Amino acid sequence: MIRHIKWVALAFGFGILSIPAISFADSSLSLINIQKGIESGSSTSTNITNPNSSAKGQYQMENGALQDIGWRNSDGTWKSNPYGITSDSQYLSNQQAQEASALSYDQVLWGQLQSNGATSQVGNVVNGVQMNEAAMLECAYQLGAGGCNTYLKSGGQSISTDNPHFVNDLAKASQVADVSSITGAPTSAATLTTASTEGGQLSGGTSAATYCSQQVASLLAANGRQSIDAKTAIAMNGQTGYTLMNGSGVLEAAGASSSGSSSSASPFDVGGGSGGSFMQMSCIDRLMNGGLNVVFNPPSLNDLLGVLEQAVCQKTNALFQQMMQPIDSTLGEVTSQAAGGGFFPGLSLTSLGGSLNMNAGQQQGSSLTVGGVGSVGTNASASSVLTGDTSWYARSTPPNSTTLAFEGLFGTNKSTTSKTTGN
Amino acid sequence: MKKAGCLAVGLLALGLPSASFAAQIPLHSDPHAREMSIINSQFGRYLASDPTIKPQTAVVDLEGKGVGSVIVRFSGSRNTCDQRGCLTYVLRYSEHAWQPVFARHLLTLSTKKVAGAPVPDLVTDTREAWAWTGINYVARLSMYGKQFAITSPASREDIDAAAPALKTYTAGTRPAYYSARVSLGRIQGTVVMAVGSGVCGNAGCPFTVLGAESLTPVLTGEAENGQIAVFPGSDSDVHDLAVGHKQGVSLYRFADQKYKLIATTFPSSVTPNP
Repeated sequence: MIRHIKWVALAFGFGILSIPAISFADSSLSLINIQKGIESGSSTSTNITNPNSSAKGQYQMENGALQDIGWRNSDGTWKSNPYGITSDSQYLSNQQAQEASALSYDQVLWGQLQSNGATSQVGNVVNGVQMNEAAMLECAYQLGAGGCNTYLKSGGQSISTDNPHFVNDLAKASQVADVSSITGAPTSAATLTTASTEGGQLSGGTSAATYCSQQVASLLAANGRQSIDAKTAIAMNGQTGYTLMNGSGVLEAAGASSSGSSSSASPFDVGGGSGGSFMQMSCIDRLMNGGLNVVFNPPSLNDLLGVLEQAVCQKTNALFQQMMQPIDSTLGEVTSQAAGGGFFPGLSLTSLGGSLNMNAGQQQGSSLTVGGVGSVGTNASASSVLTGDTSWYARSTPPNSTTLAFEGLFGTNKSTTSKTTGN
Repeated sequence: MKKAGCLAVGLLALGLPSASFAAQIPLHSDPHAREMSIINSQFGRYLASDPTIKPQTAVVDLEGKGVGSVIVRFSGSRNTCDQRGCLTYVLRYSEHAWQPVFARHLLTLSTKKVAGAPVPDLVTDTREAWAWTGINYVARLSMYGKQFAITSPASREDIDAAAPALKTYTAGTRPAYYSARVSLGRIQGTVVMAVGSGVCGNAGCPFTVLGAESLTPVLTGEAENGQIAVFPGSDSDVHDLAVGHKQGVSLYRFADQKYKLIATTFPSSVTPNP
């Protein structure tokens, strides 16, 4: 993985805020997964249709695209294809066919981009996005090869004003380092180098200003800055005083995101913590659920560790993982208990507000505190958490006590239980 | 699916509205309602930041599968209410989490059965209809006005007039051009669409709307054929245009000899989300 940090100034409508933007060319990312995320979020459903277009499936392939890859006739009937699809309903129930058709369409688009000369602009920076091959393909996926050529030749000026997420979509795609399976040729080293050193000036400010009200955009920016600060603090402190001070941290520590813990989550996951696609989320969703990445992509802990590996103790990551894993599982159990039953499936701590403070000292009495408004508040022994003992939350007696309380905004349901822990 | 079953029983017992008939969804303000735990978990910190917000909620089996979706309207606050109404969400349990599948400022929300659609539409007090796609609700273009198809081969004159606006889309290709005459109220319009491999993308095909007299392009964009609608505007003698996209509907109004984007049903530069 090639990592690079650049400090850029992002305008959020209300002013200029300097926050770090990171440009990655990641060999572990695949364009097809990025495209699925852009088109349908994290949904595992394949039966996705649209009232305003013929778009269908996880990749939202329109009939014109299916014609371009030779799967469909202009009269709406299906041609012979590798998956034996003969109807829309068959296509909608076949995930493999959907993925194969999208891949095939990417290959067709690359040929069209070569034909119209757009590929000569590989490596150019447009609206702050390094237009590598993957970004080019996403550009054409959305605008068509002709529309993408227009976009590139105009220096990004031709972008439709009703599609302000377009630049962010390209930024996500640009993180894919290798699309040789689509283009038929290895991605040039020169392109990768350029992408990793000059990318990063995303027009996230535009998105924040246009997508969100000013009030929420301000809060989003503050949360983003706080997220960076908190994770940097974790990464740079290899001994004690691990602190994660924001809701996003709680979300990730609780393993709420679909990609698991914070250390494994890509900063470019689509949809953030709530698991939906961007179009499904409002600014408040993104603010409350930690899905900052549409406006601003906070680096994950692993990203920071990689970048700062010369300065940070190598044990940090292992220690963090060791701490977070039992917290993940424990929080889940706490949530289950706090919910008091199964009236609603899966009520969880996925988007708790509040804070998580953890002091992982060696001495007895270190504490873990998870708190939030309208959420679950717990106090527990850090040592029991660190050893994976999940019994600490229940029925403790002082001094090794646990208080479990549900304190909602609109009423309090506090039930304090206790159990002796094994300290 | 024990939990889902429990909820289905709960719905029947409580007499909550089902989606089997068109009906306005009644919302109630009960801080002790079970769904408030979900609202708190999803929006707790935001609600705490603005105590004037008064959540009104309901649980409705929108999909007829015995699993409730949570509907919440955040009323009572300047931050969540404007002239359109108050911000209203539909939360659906999917992928092991409660996810917002609909967000709109509105006064009332109803459900309406649509022929051929397995899940009823959501209908707002402004008669917008939102269709279920399988992952979220998307506004239907058909509710805005009369859709028209572009099927006639374009004349040489129309092609020449449209070509400058479409040339960057069509560079290096040999598209076919189609056109349609459209009454735009005070003016007559001609919509020209370029169709062909390498011209159209996954957002449709490029089109331009020519003003009648000078054949000057007044709007250029991309859409699938048939996904443009025309309807009388509220403050102009030239009709508005609506263009349907995968993510929703974009509305354009004629002003200063051009069509300008005035609203979208999804977050955009002209319709920011709270």
